[in-house]
Amino acid sequence: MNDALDLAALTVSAVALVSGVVVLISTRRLSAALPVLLDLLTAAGLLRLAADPSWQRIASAAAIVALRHLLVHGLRVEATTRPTSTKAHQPASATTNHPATTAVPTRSSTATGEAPRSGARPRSRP
Amino acid sequence: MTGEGFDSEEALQSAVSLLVTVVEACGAVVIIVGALWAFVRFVGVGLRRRDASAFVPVRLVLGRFLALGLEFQLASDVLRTAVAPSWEQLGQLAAIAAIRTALNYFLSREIAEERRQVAEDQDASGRATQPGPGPAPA
Repeated sequence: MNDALDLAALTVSAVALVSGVVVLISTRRLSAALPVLLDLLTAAGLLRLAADPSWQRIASAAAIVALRHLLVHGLRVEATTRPTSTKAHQPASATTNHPATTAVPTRSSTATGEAPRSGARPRSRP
Repeated sequence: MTGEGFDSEEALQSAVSLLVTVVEACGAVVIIVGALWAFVRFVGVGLRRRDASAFVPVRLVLGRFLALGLEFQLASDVLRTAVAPSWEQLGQLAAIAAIRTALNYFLSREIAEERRQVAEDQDASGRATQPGPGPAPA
């Protein structure tokens, strides 16, 4: 069974490389290709760990898992610190307001005495 | 130790090792199937679409496959503790179980995070395609 698991781990490693290259070519972004590569390499590491375990295999699997986690965390931090587009925080009031108030957007909330929420102004006038 | 006790212990050991093999093979099969499925999907999506967000659902499903395979492998670790005769083997078992548990934890967190991101994206795109409000009622 160990030979079969080793062969499977090798196959999954090759699959990981091919998938990473495909995603890299498709998106031209390393930050998209790297998680794909690391996910599949983790699968290969798990298969290797299921085969006859030795301290060297355990150490290499732990290193892969730690490296993968570090890289994914780094990519996520980079993605969150990058200036985001404005589509993520569209004001909810722009679509859920009563028709009467959306027809006259300048009197949406301040006219009724409500405090304006952050980002609640649907459209700013030029 | 009597001969009968020795026999029953041997039988228990062979039964547990058989169970360990079966459960570990199940985990390996789940991981292999998940990896191959994800490979096919990655290539398919990569040939059709160019945006990075298209790969997130595939990674989500792959993460679920990996988590399921890890559950099987952790089950086999638990079974193995029943027949681990030496400290060396016990140490290796503890290290492997620690790696698998940590990976399972991080995978679950990642799956939850990715799922939240997909839901947010779907919510945002659904809001963008919603028709604007009609004329105000009289």
